[in-house]
Amino acid sequence: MRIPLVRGRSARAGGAIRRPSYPWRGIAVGALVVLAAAVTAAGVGAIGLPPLDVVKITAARLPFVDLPQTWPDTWETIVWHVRLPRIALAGIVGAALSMSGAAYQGLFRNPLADPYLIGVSAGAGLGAVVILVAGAGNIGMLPVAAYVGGLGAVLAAYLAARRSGGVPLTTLILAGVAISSLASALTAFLMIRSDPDLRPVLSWLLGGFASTQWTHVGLMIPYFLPCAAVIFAYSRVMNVMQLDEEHARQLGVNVGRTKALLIAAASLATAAAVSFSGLIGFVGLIAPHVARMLWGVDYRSLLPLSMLLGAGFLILADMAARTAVSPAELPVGIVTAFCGAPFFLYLLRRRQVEM
Amino acid sequence: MLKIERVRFGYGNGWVLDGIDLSVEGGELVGIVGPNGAGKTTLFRLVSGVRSPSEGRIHMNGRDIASLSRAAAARLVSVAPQNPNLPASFTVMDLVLMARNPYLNLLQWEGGGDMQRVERAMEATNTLELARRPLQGLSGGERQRALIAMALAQDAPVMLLDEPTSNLDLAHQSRVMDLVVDLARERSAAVLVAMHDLSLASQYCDRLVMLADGKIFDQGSPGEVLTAENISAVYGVDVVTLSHPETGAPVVLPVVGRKPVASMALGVTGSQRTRCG
Repeated sequence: MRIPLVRGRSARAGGAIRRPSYPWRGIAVGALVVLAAAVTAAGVGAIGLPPLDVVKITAARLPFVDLPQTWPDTWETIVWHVRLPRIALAGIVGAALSMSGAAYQGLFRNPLADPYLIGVSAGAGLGAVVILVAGAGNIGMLPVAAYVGGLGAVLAAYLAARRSGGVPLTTLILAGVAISSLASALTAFLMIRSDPDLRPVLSWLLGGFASTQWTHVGLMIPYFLPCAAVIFAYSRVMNVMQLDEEHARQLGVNVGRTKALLIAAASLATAAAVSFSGLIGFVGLIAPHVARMLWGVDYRSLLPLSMLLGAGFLILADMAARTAVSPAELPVGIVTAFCGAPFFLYLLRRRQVEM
Repeated sequence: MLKIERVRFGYGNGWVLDGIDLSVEGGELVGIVGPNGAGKTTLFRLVSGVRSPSEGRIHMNGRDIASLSRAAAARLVSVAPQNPNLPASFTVMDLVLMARNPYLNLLQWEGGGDMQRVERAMEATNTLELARRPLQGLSGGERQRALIAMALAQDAPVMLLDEPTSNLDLAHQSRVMDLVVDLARERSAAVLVAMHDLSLASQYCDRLVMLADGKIFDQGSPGEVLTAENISAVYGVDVVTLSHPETGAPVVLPVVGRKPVASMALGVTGSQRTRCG
């Protein structure tokens, strides 16, 4: 099934040749869906709030908007200080993971690639454990350590795979596997040898947005935006990168530079996402596949639409995580895997998982 | 126009190309023939600039191709590779659009002029009706036409076609070769075609370059190059050559039932020799 939302030419019968146009309509629809998901998520919880009040409370915070307060102060606290920050962070993290997943899938020409393919997750886990063992429980440093660990692992894999002629991608994946195993072994070793309370690490590993504040959102944005800018700038070139490397070079692509830039951008965005929210699986794998199913394979529409899908999905998954077994909270990684894995199997059965 | 001067190149052990001297003018169709491993594809890699010669230089109107940026080189030389992997779900039009990449900067998308060139290239290669077909469903011939459309849409003064007719039936072979001749003439492009089918190359090419072991064994008109002696020396097989009744260009036919030349030399007595040729 193809919904002819983005590329007008697939909807019309005549005119085989049609100039690719920016998927504004798909983006508008996607943005509305994300917005609706956010408003719903902000209203749902231990205390249910009407969507209209959610919108008003949020709008009253915007500059130049003057609304008389018709809601209790507690509502404002719940919406503005508790629920919205985690919704915003879930949206950005979902977008970052889906964008990186789409970039990796395109770059490695492998439909199974996800943002953790070349070692970010294992490296981040190691970083987190190291800081807990060494830093005597300084939880505030955990995101930093995870970020450094995650990027360190990717960099190690990249350097290990580098040859004089560039970085062969198969070698990079293999190096990533080796580095991941090494980091996991070190993590397990540290966990066994020392005996601190490991619950923070475990719950962080499973991922989640509990206790997210606006500060976290503010810290995530400067990591996310430049990476997104780089990946977006290369979206047309990423189509050409789907050809054999030599073929792409013959079409004027500087393959080595493009690979390095895209790997760097996707890994930075992933490492930032992991350090704020832990290891959330399946979003980065699935959102690009769904976007491909709905809108086709052109990276110029695939990238923005995967991001919107990933953002909406993770916002709803986080909503489910905090309401399913209320008042307790599930790690969001469990929710995404719970929805994501069966859905992926369904896609496989329908043979829709193509590049 | 295109000049290849004393070029040597190897991938590490020994020379794959060893002293190639060749120049091709605009409007000229040059066939590159020679056995497997003679260096045809490697020569194309060097001319398109994805590899640099170890010695010697390749230049196009005085500009050294190895010193150009990727995009600048791609504006001078286009390549239709032999049997590349193609992304299954992309359509033929998506593929041909990629050929405009060397003319676009990062943030630019294909404009009206690009679309016109793409459309013309697809028209010439009879691929317009395939425009929206995904690449995975194409037949061998459709794939090859799509690849040639791509090389055309790249709009470069030098075109390199690696075995453009290898997957084609008789009708498509002659259609593609007619198209290639037209390209060379109308766009006055310098077209190099690597071909295994000597008779086909002979009918269409202005000039043949016969490669063997990384060297130019012989070059000239098809009649000069495709002699039984040359072919038996380079391919190690006995052939007969006839003249095409209309074009007069040589047609190469294998000698049926005779052992390869190399073993002929060893102990085959006169009485056992098969009589033919």
